[in-house]
Amino acid sequence: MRKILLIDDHEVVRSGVRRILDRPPGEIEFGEASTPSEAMDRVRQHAWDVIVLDLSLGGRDGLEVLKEIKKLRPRQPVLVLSMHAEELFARRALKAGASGYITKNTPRAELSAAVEKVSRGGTYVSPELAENLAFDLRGATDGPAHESLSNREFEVLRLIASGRTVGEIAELLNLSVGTISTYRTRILEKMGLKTNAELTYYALQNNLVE
Amino acid sequence: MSQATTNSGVDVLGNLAWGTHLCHFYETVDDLLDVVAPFFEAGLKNNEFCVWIVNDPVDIETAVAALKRDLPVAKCHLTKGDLHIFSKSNAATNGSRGIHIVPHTKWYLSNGRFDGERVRSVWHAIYEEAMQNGYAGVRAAANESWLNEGDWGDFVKYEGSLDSLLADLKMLVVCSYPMDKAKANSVLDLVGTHEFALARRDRKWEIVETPDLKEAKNEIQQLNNELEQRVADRTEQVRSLAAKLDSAREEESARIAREIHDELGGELSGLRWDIEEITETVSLSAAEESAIGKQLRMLIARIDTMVGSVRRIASELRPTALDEFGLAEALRLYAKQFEERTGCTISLGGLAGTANVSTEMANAMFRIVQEALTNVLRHAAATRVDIDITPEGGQSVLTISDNGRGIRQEEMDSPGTFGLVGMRERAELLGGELDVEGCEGRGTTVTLRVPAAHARSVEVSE
Repeated sequence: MRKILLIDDHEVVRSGVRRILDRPPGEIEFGEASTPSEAMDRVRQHAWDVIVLDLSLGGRDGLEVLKEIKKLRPRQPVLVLSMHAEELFARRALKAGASGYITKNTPRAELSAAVEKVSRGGTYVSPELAENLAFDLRGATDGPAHESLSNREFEVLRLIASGRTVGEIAELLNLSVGTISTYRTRILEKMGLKTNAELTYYALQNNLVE
Repeated sequence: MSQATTNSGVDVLGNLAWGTHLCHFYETVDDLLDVVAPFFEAGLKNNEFCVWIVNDPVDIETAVAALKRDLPVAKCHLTKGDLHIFSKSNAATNGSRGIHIVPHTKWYLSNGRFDGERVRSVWHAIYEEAMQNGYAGVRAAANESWLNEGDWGDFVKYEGSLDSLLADLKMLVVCSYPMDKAKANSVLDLVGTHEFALARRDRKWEIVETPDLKEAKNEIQQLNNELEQRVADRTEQVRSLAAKLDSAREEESARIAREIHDELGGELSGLRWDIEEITETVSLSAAEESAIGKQLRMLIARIDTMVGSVRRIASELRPTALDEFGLAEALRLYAKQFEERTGCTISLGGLAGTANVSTEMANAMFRIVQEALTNVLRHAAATRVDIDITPEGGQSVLTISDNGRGIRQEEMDSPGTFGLVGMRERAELLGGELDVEGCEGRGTTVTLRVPAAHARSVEVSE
C-alpha cells in the first residue's frame, strides 16, 4: 500500500490534498503532521512514497524540515507545497533537495499528477516556473559597456565626454551637483573606468560624441 | 521694546534689562553729560519717569542749561522744597515729558547726614507713583560727587542693597562717580556693588565687567551647555524610540501579511479544490453542464482572482522575500511585479553590494523604493525607472529616477500626497538624508544618502 505523508499546519489544506489523492479511495495510507516535531516523528517511523510539505509550516519552518528530512532519508521524495508563486522560493526548495515545487492554488488534476511524478522519482515544477528558472540561469546579455547605462546616465556620460563640468551638467539638467556626482560615480563603475579622461576616450572611440 | 529691557541710550551699553544698576566714572563735566544726556533722551522717548540727582560740579543751573542744550525738547522740572513734590497733582501739572532734577541734599541727606533707609523708601514711593501714573518705568541718574570719607561705608552698603530693591522693578539707575574723588579701593568697592561700570579710556567709553556679572555670565554659559547636552540626549532617546517603533511596525506588518497570505490563501485553495471536486464528481446533463458547469468554473476563476489579491496585499504589507531573501531579491521581485502590473521598465543596479545591509537599512530602502514607485505609478506617467544603490565616499546612496513628467516644486512643498514626509523620516532614522528633484518633462529623482555604518556592504559575486 502506498504511503503518503501530508505536512501542513492548515487542516483545510491537509484534508483538501487528501481528498484529491485518495482516488480510488482506500488505496493509500495517509499520514498527517502539523508541526515540525510531529513531522519528524512520522518521517522516522518509516519511509514514505511521497511527502507533501508546506513550505510555510509554522511560518518559517518548512525549509528546515525539508533539510532535516533529506538528512535522515536522502532518497525520500518530497513535493513542496506553497502559497508563494515566486521562483525565489522554488529555487531555494529545489536546492535544498525537494523533488518538486507546486503552489496551493493549482488545479486538482495537476496536483495529482505532480505527486505521481515525484513518487516515481521524477522532478516536478509547473511550466511557468520552469520558464522563469531557465531564464534566471541565462545571466546578463553581452553588449557594449555603455548599453548598461540608463538614459539619464547616458546623457551625463555624453556631457562629461564633451568637457562639461559637473556644475554645468547639473544646471543643464536642472538637478543638483550631488545627483550628477552620483551619476558620474555610477557610470564609471558600470563601465569599469576610473577618470573623466577615460570616459571621454571611450566616448570618442565609440562615436558617442563628436 | 521687550518687556524685560529698555534702551539705555548709551551706544556702548545698548539695551539693558530693567533693574540694572551701573556705575559710571567721569573726569570732566563733559564726560558726565556725555552719558547722562543720551540716557535721559532715551528715557523720555520711552515715556519713563526721569530723575536726575545733581551736585558739584553740576549744580542745578548747570544741569538745566546742559540739558536744554543737549535735549532741547526736554522739559526740566526743578524741584522746589521737599521730595514730596512727586505727588499726583504735581506730576499732572508738570506734564509727563520732563526730567525731574533734584539736588542731592534733598535726596540723600537728612539733617546733613546720609540716610540710606529714607532714600530707599523714597525710591519706593516714586516708583509706585510713576507706575500709577502710567509711566513705562523709572530712570534715574545720580551724581555721587558729594560723598566723603565718613559716608562711604554706609553708602556702599546702601548701593549694595539697591540691587535687591531694583530687582523686580522697572527701574534703571546710573550712579556717576568722579575719578578724582574715588580712591583705588573705593573704586573696587563701588564696582563690586554695581552690575557693571562705564569708564572712559582713550576718549572712548568702555564697559568694565564686575566679578558678579562675569560669574553670572559663566553660569549662564554652563547652564546653556547642560541644556544642549540634555537636548542632544533627549533627541537621541526620541530617535531610538522612533526606530524601535518602526521595527515594531514592520514586525506587525510581517505578522499580518503572513496570516493573510498563509491563512486566507490556504482557505481559498481548499475552497477551490472543493468546487473542483464538485465539477469532477457530479455528472451533469448537457443542459445542466452549460448552466451549472459554467457557474462553477466562474467561481473557480473568482477564487483565483482572490488569491492574486491576497498575494498582492500581503506583499504590499510586507513582502516575505524581504525577510527570507534579503533586500536585493525583494527589490528584484518587487520590480518584476511592478513591471508586470504597469508596463513600466525597471532597471536595477548595485544590488550586489547590499548583501550585508542591516535590517533597518533594508526595511527603509525597500519602503522608500515602494513609496517612490507608487508615486511613479500614480503621478509620473513614466515608462522607465532606474534604481541604483552605489557606495559613495563613506555613504550608501540609493537613487530612484524615472522619465516621467517631473515632480513640481509646489508638489514637493505639500508633501502629504507623495509620502515625502514618511520617506524623509525613514532617512533620518538612519542618520541620513533624502532629496527629491524634479526636472520638468524629464523626470524625477529620489536620492537617499545614508552613512555607511548602517550599510556594511561586501562585494558578492552572484
